[in-house]
Amino acid sequence: MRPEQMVKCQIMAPKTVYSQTIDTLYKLGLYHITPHVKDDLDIGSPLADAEDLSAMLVKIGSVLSAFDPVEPKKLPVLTNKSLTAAQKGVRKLYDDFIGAKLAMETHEKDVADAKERKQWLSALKTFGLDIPTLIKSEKLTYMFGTVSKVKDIQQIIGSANDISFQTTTNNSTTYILAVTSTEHKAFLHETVSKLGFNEIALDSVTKAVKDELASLSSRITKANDSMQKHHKKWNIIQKELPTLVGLQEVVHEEVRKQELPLNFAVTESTFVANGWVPAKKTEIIKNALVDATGNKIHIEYTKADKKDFVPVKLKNNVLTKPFEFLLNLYSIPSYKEFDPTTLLFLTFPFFFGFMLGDFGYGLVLFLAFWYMKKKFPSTKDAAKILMFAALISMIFGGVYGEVFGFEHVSVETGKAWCANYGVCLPEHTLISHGVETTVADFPRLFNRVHSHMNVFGFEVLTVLVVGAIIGFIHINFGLFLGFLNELRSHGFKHAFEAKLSWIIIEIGVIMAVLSMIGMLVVSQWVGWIIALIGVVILGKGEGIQGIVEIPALASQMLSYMRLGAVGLASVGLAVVVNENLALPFIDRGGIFVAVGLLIMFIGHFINILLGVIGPFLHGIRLHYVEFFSKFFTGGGVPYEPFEKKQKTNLRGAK
Amino acid sequence: MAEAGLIAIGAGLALGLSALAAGWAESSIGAAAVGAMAENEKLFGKGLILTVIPETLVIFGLVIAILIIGLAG
Repeated sequence: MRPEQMVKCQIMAPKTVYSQTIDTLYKLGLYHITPHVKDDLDIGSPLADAEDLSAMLVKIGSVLSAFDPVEPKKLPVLTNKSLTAAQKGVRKLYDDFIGAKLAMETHEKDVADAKERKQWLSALKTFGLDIPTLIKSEKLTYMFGTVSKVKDIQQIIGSANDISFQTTTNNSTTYILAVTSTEHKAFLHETVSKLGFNEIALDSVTKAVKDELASLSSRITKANDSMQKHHKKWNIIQKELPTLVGLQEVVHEEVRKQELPLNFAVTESTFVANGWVPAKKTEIIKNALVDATGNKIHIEYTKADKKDFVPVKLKNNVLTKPFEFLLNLYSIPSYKEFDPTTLLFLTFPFFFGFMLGDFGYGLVLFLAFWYMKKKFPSTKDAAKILMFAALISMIFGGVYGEVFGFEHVSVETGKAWCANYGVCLPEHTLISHGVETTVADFPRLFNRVHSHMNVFGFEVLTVLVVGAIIGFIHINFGLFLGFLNELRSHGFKHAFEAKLSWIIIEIGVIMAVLSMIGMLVVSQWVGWIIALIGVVILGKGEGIQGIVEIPALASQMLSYMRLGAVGLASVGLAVVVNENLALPFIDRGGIFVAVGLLIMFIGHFINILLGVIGPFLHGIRLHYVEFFSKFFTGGGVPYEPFEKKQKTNLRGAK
Repeated sequence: MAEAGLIAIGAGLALGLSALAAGWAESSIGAAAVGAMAENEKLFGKGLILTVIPETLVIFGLVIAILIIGLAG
């Protein structure tokens, strides 16, 4: 119930054993470092290679970003020699990469240009004109290009007497060449501009169109050839990728090690590291460090004092571990607090099951989350929690006697089950809208839709009352835990004033209410006075903030009625799907049975989805808002020892 | 029968109005929570809790509706 015990660990050693110390800490993976804040002592600087290695990482990253992700190749541990070789290799690979990339880009552009030119040149060829002469002509002016308003050509240019023109369509693009005498140049411009004209300059056409086309074709072939050469280079780089990814991981870890001294305090020739280690592991760490540095190291362990921000390592067993997921959504506890994971394990699935409470839904959800756990390992903690919750839902399905919203089957079916499977259900007479029907009932502890109980003369649904009672117990348990937490951190006086005062108020109010309805013989004023004393104590402990919170106590307990209400909403929907939507179809027989079954499938599918979201959110909310506010503050620093990163995602977005 | 009709209307109003109120309250909280989450994904848990706090209104509405229907017998 408490986080793992930690001790402060200070390491002092000469700088000559820097790398041995860092390597050992890295291998142990136990040391949570507190970064040094500059005071009399300076902050350490990264080891010599860090800068080169970082530059190498950038190069690797930029190469990798041009390719699809690949699985890394496993590489041996880097030695100084292999590191130098790797650096050289990466530099060469990077240069090749940049060279090939630029060349390919240039060629791609060249080829694209040439192809475009080829297209309009072939269009020009169909006109059969001597283009170089036309360009040089002083008497004639021309315009060549594409037009988008093809339908309007005849109407607009055809009617202009001074302009002669030709058009051709190539690959669904229409080209036009319009010629007129030089004095009509402005008129020509104006006319073609009405056609959505896009000019193509012909200045570059110096030879006959046929010859131009021939030289262009050889240019494209040549460009394609050289492109292939670069493609080969590109493929060679691609083959190196797994090694490169492997190298990236190794180098990244190496950089992390080399930059570790940024967290140390240093003098001219020694360094001091401050951090935290689990109290159980002190001997192992000490021995390993002393061995690695040849006893040139001083290690000092001290206990945590009140002002320290001790990192928190939660200590939970196999069963309760997944529930840390729910705690992490909120906040992890501080070092001195209870770790409420075990409490979440005890009550969250219970609340979920209490709300969902349907054997059929529970079974479906159990299988669904089991599949999710298999298929998506990253969600395994959440899946485990929900599987557990689904299991409890099945149990509560038994308590309420509900399977997919059905509470009973017809007498005939009941008899058939009894004869065929030996499952005999008790018969029960229902009166609904004045009509009596006999059905074979599922066994149950109580029916949550119909079972009422008498509260102070009112008929109230049993599930709502049970919910409120659970709330009363849960909240008071929270107050008790809060008392223990305060006792530990602020002493008995404050704990009593801030937490037990709530319970005194509750006792007072309960006594007063009981006297009012005549269940207690003392005057109701005794109760009110006790409650008032509680309020005064609370005011002393928590100030005006506490007093403002008093009405919230009642509303928070009533808030637990949702345990019943959410379930009732879910049953309501299931009953509507079964009895009001599907059964009328099924009763008509024939093809309508299929329609009825489809309605049931869709209806229950939606209801199951709601049945996960509703109970999950409400269940977790009751913990976060109503329960945790009584004892839990959170805000702990997670214990993150310096160790090998499990999964580094170093690739930049492509 | 007229009495039963009034009871049904009362229950409907209790649930409907409280749901409307909860939706109204949650709309601005939800928008702020999503905004905060866009800045820091770790706030998902806190955002979720803050968003569902007004949900209590609907629950109370539902409980009252059920109690009112209970009165009808």
